[in-house]
Amino acid sequence: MAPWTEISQPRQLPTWLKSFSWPFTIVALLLLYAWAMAGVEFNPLLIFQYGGKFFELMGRMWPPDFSPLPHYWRPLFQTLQMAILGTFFGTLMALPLVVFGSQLVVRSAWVYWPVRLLMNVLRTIPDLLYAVLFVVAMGFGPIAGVGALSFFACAIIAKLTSESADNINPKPIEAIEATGANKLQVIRYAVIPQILPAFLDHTLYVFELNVRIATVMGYVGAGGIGAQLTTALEWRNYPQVMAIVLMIFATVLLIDLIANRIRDALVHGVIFPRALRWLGLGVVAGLILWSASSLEVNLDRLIAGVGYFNNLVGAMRDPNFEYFELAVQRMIQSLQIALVGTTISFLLSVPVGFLAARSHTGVPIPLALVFKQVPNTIRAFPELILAIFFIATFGPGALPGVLAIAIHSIGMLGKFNAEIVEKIRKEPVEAIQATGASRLQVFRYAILPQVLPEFLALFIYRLEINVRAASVLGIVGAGGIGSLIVEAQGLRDWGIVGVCLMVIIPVVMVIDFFSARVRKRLIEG
Amino acid sequence: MKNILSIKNLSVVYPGVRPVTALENVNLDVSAGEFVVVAGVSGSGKSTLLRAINRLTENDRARVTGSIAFEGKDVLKASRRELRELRSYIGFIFQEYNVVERLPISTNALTGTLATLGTWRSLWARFPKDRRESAHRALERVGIPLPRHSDRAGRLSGGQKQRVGIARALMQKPRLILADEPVASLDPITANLVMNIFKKINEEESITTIINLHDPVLTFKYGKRIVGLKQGRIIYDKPIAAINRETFEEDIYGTVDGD
Ligand SMILES: Nc1ncnc2c1ncn2[C@@H]1O[C@H](COP(=O)(O)OP(=O)(O)OP(=O)(O)O)[C@@H](O)[C@H]1O
Ligand SMILES: [Mg+2]
Repeated sequence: MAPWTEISQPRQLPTWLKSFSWPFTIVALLLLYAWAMAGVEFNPLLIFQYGGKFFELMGRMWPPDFSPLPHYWRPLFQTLQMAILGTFFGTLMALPLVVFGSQLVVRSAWVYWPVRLLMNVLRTIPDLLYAVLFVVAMGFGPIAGVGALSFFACAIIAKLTSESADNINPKPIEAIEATGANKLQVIRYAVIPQILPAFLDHTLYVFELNVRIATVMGYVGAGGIGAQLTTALEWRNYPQVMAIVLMIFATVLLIDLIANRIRDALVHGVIFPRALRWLGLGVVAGLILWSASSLEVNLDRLIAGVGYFNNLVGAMRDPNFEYFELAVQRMIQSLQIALVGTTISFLLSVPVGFLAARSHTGVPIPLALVFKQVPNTIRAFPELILAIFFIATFGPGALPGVLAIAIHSIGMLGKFNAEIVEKIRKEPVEAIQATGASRLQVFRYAILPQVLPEFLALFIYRLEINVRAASVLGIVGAGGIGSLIVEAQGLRDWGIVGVCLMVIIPVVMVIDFFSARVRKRLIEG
Repeated sequence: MKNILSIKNLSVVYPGVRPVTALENVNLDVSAGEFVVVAGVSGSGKSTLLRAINRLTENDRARVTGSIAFEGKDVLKASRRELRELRSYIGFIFQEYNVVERLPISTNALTGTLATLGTWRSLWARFPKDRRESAHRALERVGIPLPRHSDRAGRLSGGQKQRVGIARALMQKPRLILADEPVASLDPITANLVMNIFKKINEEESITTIINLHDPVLTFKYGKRIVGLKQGRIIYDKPIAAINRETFEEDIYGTVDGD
């Protein structure tokens, strides 16, 4: 007989609870969504009613007015320069965090746990909130943008690279240790070669993100083309708005294209020839110097920056607790915006994923290639720009925020859903076909069980990202706790911003924690 | 006795830049209750033969010509609907077990009855009580004890997954069992356990069985009729009584060169 006892029994719910758990889950979900949809005043009728207005708005934007183009080049370059410097400083700041937050390097829990905690806290603060904080500390201008992007970049690079470091293969490390090498040598020969590709990959990914964010930072006064966009919107000069949006779109697409090429090569372990590596390094160094000199970033200003940072922390040291309740209410609305927006996006992305996948689903390949481009195109529109458009249509409120998140997230969800579908194993599909089952049954019993847990894990991951997004959309008028931050900025009451941070940071940390656990369970089954 | 399966001039070509002729002019008659082992080296066309019988070759866009009559009906001319019905009479067992890892073991066995379950019920996985009970019996029969039936199939070992694969086929109440290298990924002891299950099913219910094997020892031990394939052609077809143990390996696999 087979040795059954060797395999551990999974924990099972009692049968009575099991039969009860389905209806219970459905009712709980219905209540949750009813509550969230009420909180964001989500009304499908409204969308249809105003849908026409959206197209009318688009009509007024056409044709785009490129006549002030000569005035746009400089801010556009400034946007790129902010992204370049932000990524550069972010990388420098992330390195010590990665090293001291790694169990491979530091054996003492007294060092790496505080470093990890710092990493997690830095990552809870959304991009635009950093921008607001730096504008407060350093005044208007691109330098504030560079500061904000540096912190944002540092947080993500540190987090992602640490995760890669945790998952590296320990065997080469043992092998080098076994030769009698010292710790530094082990790091140099066994750790860095394993982490470097992932590190570069994450850095490029963050650069893509930074370019997107930099294009809208001008909205809060942190430099770049966002300032021109804001002015054009204020004057209701829609043809110019369209011209700027198209420029942003083209820039983001171009950067994505270049960065993706390099990232693909890195992931597939392409070995670049030595000359090319030096050339690449030279180009990067040149870009950094060019950015630093035209934004006038120099040592004096960097040192002064530390002083500004002190001012900022000082200003917020005194949280204004009168606003605590309001901050909590608005934060709840942010969560509702994220939940409804992510859910709509998920429902739209599942078909996109199936249509864009080249696999056993039988979609003709040319059609799949067309659908593959849908997510890439959508991803190039920053959600804040979408939010601004929707606010122009529906007026300020939570609904534009929901729609902005719903549309923008299709970019990532559609792309990854397609990858999940492409990974489907064909063996179970054939087995169900062989029993004489219909196409629908094959889908239900062989395909759905393979993709559903992964879809859900991705949904939760995106929800985690969108909670951050939803807590700053209010800065442009799209509901949630961000609206309180703008009000505080108007009142110059930094104590309110302090309270907002006190609410945002723990909420996002708790969500990150549970999201990670649930996703792990879903994927491991 | 009447032939349950009658294959005439079967050829299978896989398209591509350089098309591959996997089978050429194969003729094979199998009568009800037989236990046939198809033997041959890797690439001789064993899988293609079994997969052509229930048209799984369509998944590889293969071009199939000739005729395959199952219980008198031509499989190759069957409509989609008729094909599904034909498939429901034929239990297919795969080398890689092909269980749906995230579904419970019992549901995996129950998928054998999908062809006769209404669409609505199957969407919600509402299998009638008698089917659920017979799934438990089928699983116990192949050696999976009741307490495990609600586990996910992904948690099982290879040999256990293959038992689930057999239980799924049994749930179809098949009139023909096709097994493509069902024990190739198993250790010798487990392989014999699984082969014995096939043997018992064939003897107790006289279900016609065709099994692909590449291992000559198992082939000789279990086969009651041995069909040899070489480069897409049948080069050998004898009942076990007429087989000369000394020469049969050479007859089917050719001389072993080298040491
Ligand atoms: N999907 C396919 N596309 C193209 N050629 C194929 C395909 N499947 C099989 N072939 C080719 O058809 C021939 C017969 O393959 P088949 O899988 O039927 O052999 P087999 O006897 O089952 O071998 P094995 O013991 O390795 O499973 C081989 O030359 C193989 O390369
Ligand atoms: Mg084979």
